[in-house]
Amino acid sequence: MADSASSPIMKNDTKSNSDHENVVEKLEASVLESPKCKRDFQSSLSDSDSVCAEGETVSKKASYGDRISKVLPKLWKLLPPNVCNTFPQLDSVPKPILKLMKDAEDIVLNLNSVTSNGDERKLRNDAERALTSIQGVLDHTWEQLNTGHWRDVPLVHRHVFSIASLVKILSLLQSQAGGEETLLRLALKAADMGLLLGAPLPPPNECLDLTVAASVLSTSLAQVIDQSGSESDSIIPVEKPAVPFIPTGLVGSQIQELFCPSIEKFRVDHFNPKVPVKIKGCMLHWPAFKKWCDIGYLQRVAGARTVPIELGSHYAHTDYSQKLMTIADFIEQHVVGGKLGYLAQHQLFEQVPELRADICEPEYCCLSDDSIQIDEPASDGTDINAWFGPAGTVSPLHHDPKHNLLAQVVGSKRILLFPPEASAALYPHSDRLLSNTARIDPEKPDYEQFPLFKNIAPPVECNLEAGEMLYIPPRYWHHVRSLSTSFSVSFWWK
Amino acid sequence: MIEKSHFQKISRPLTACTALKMTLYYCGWNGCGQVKGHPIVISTPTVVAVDGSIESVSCSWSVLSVATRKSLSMTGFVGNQHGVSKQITLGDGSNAVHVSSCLNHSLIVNDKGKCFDYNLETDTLRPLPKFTSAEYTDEEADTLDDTIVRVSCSDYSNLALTKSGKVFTIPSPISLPKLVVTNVSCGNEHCLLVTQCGSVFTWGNGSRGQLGHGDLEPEESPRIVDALAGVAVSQISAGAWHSAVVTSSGDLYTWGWGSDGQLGIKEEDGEGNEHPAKRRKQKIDSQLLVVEEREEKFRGTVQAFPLPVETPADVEQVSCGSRHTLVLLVDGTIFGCGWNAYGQLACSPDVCTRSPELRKILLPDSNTRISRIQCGGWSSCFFL
Repeated sequence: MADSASSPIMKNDTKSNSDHENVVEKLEASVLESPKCKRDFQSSLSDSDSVCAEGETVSKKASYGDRISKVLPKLWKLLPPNVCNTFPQLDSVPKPILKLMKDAEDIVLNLNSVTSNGDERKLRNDAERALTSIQGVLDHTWEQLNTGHWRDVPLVHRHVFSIASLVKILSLLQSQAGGEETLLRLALKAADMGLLLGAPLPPPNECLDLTVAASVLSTSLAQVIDQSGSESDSIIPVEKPAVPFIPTGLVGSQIQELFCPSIEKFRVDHFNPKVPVKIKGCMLHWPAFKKWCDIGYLQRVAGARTVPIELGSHYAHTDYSQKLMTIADFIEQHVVGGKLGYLAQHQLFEQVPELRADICEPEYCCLSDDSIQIDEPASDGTDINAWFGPAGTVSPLHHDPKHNLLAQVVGSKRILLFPPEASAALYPHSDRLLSNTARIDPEKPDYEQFPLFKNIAPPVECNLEAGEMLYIPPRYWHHVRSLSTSFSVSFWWK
Repeated sequence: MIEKSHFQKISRPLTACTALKMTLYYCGWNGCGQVKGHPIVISTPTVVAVDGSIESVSCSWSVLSVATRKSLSMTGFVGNQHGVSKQITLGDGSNAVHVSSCLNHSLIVNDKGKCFDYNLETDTLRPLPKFTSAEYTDEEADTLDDTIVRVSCSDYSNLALTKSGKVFTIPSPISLPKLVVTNVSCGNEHCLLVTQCGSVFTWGNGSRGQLGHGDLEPEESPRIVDALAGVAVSQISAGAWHSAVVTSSGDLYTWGWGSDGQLGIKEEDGEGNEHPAKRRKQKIDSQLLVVEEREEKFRGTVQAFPLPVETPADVEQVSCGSRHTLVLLVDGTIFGCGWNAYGQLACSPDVCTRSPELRKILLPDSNTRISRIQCGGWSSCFFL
């Protein structure tokens, strides 16, 4: 079905396919429920109406399936031929699951080879069957991933999740089950779920790279959205909150500032002796420094990408929960909408290479220090995490095992810093998993419950503005609050 | 014994209706061909042909096992194929009286109290060597009836229960001095048992609160659920990561992971509408919960000790699937909550993919009086 635009199915795809769309929607809902996605489904059913309702001109639309037919060959390249047989690790996967995955893969391969003038009804039934089967594989594998501790789950289940995610993407795009934009969105969501829960396959199947799949889908989706005329050129500036933040609790001494220090100076004065410092003037060349001030840019590049969002006051609070949502939904509800929510400590730049291109790893990260002991398995290079949210997000007082450069790209943050020696007076949680987090809240200290905190030396305080970086030495306690809409990038290295 | 009430209740109609055709309804996941000639998702309960009166039914993700007075059949993924139906003969002219299936195998008990293991992948039946008497003292060996009456298996554990109330993690006995166990049930990572006096014990992994001890710690051996002290529990059922029990007065309690609403306790809708479960949850070590929720990959509420669930009438029986819960009430109605992506709550996933509140389950023939429910995997069975 290279040219599905000529397929009669598509002529009245708004009504006659509704049953089939239900199947897709239902499947999707079983993984993830997104209001945005639901809306997209609705709007895809009455595309022209919704555009008119928004008072915009109905722009010319590419013929249906045009983009998808361009995207599909790129995605097919990612599926290793005969992966179920060339991946010996799969032997440990329960046979009924493996069989179902193979069946789905066979159907999808078969769909690909059938021309558009085949028996439509059969093709649609086949696509539906492949989708339901592969969703069953994904759902069952999800259960396997949730059995036992996440870190103890056999890697092969994550491999299966990756493979099944790609098969789902291919099934969706060949299903003709919805409008082009809808299918691309669902496929992209499947790719992101695969990236979040799956794992890259080892050779010879390393070509199954969901990062590539997601990029291809994301690019194509952006073109579709662009063509439909919505969301383009809408610059959403970052605004300061109406009520400025008034510091409560402890006020610290201002942090030392340096303008573009040499690596040697940084090493001798700060890295080696583990002294925090604010570094100015070192990230003005980042493309992100300009681009990300326009939230519309983030919407366009990554709006349809699914990411984990932390809800609630902060991660150690009882109201804490985590939710998957698209960046577009997150921006709408939380960043612009102002509801508390935090895209925190997420390896966004591995997931979205387009955004990785907007930032530069600081040269200071090449310094190394072998003295720190890290419990986690050694990982090479620098961990780059994104921290994006509205004013008022808080990371409670905690420390991390690695060197940390916190680069403020958009907005501002207030950070309070306590040296490792202060640990006893900060009352760390006794539980192992939270032992790096203090029970004391420096913004609202409870001196009765935590008397040692009364006599503590004043912390170092840092107001980090866009374009500035903060060096936080390993094990240095830090409390972080965003004072405006804020996008920071942290670099952790050993 | 847990089944006692049911045996009593159905013993009368049973004698009268042995000649009648037995009815078994099935809904939910059919991806392994558990019910031939039907789509992968069965959201309207479908009649499965059964020959003779049903002794025991078990469904897992991959297979539907039905033991009747005449035969034992496994349908689904059998012998490395989907959609295969096998009749299994136990030999000696004996009949299966209880069956429990998981992804790869089934445990079977025959009317002589012997235990069999059936490997679904290889389609091979193996009588298990007698393991029950090994640890008894001489005195016990003389007095105890060590025939097996029930089995329960999951992908990670296999339990057997003897007529005298001893429990085995096949083949090793579980030490429970002076306790007479009346039923056992396996979840994905945890197990439940109930004693003659109505006490509930749990053990295994507690990371989703499924043990009901108020924390998320694992327990190596059965530990009594203190929160249920004072109520006599008559019936138990373990889901993949949740647990449900019914008391002798017909009350339902659930605990564990409410990832899909399977606890039957309406969650707050994310807009800050607190509900009792949430508040009570904070009484236990909230920090642990927080961390666990961080770990568990993006989903769910963890309820680490039993909470009562309101039901329209007294509960007669509860049965848990992987992520759903069904109750049969004394008035004969059936209600369910939890995951419905594959129709396991007997309604179309288009209507709802998960129900955090108990919703009524309707069978195609409203005159059918159901006397047993049996859930497993993503499926539900209803039968007379």
